[in-house]
Amino acid sequence: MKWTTQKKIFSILLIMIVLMGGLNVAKARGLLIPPQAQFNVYNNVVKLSTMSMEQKIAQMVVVLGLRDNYIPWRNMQLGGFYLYALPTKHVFNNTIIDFQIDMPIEFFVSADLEGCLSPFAHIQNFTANSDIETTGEAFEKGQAEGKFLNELGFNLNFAPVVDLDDTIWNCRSFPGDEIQIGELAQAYTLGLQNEGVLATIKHYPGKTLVGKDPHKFIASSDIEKADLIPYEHMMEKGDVEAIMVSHIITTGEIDSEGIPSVVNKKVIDTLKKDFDGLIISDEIHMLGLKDYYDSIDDMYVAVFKAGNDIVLNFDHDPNEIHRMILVVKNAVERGEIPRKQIDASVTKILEAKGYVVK
Amino acid sequence: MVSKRNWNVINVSLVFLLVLLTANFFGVQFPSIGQARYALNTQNELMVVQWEDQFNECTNINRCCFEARTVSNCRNEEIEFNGKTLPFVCGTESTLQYHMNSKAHLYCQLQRFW
Repeated sequence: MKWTTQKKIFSILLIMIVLMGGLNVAKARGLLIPPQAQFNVYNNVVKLSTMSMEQKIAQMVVVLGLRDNYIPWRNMQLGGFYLYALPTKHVFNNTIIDFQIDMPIEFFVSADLEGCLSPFAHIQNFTANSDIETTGEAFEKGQAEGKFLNELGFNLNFAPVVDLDDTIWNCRSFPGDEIQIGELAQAYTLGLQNEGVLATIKHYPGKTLVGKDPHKFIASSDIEKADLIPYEHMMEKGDVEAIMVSHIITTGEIDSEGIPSVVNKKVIDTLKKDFDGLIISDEIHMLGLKDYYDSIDDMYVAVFKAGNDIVLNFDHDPNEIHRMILVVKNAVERGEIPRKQIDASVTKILEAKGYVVK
Repeated sequence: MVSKRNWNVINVSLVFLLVLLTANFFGVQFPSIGQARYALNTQNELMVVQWEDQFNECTNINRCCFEARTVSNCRNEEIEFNGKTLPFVCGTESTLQYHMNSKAHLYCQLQRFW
């Protein structure tokens, strides 16, 4: 067979397309992201000095638990993953086991099980917060949801809601005034955490379920003293392990100075004065948070710099998650984010996961 | 037997494909069909939250998209709300359900968390 120039060009192009196609698939699956160095955890003790800055920042990130991203999420040694609804209990359970197996530091496995808002509704029904009247009922609800989540392998629930008003959903807030809401949320938290699942009260500093958002602008609300009562009540009791901070811009009792609460260091530092648990950001791609920055990299740095211990980033692209970690690492290296702050956050995370940190 | 002209057409097509693959590999973003459909849709986004027999317009579409994705089980199921047709719903009957028009559905699908 005689090879003409056209045939030769065709063959070369075909080989290059196959190679480039393979590289694209590998990249999309996150297989080109270099894995973190392995380290051992002896007797449940983690030495912070043995972790690289990249490993520390990765521990502060919670992503979407997509099975397609199983390899990169594990290779990056991320702090946790969040699951949307899956078809059956069995699929939930198997997904979690597959992620957790042989990880040097376990993932946080999280969901939003609030009662009426539930990714498990096709499997089991739970009472809505609005139907809870007594602390006994709230405790039992917490216990039932905790038991269910624990059996599946979850260890972190982004509930309960302690917003005072819920005029749209009508089922997510507990009934009553700010004191009753604080007491019911406290009882729910005890029930949930008794079953080995950490509770997260949300959405600090309040009024997240009433604000209007035309999705180009972040909502703003005036925070009153009453909005903070449930938080103060629960922080005083000392049982709550995590608080989620919203993107809402606030005035009044908590003034976020014209920027979203989640990126305002003053708001988070004030919260940290009375609370030594985990501070978790709301999902960072929501509500136009990035519109406040010239670039997405600036937003990444701002969310970490503000002092959030855990950052929720549900981007499907593992390369983007890896890039965020590198961007934040660079910010730490040039002194924009203090190393001490990262160490303090990672220590809190590891301790919440049950490790001893040295 | 492929003619010389046809070989040229094939090779030019392959070069085009190779350029696209290379651009994609290096992170060049192309507008998607979803973005085009969203831009061409002249409706306003409308999403309605249903809890039991109460229906309320969601004034916080971005958050509602996120929650609709959380509960999943999205399907075609048409309802009328204030004279407008909402052909998509996410959620189950025993929990919150998120009804949306096609513009809101397209908007949700464009979000990174969807």
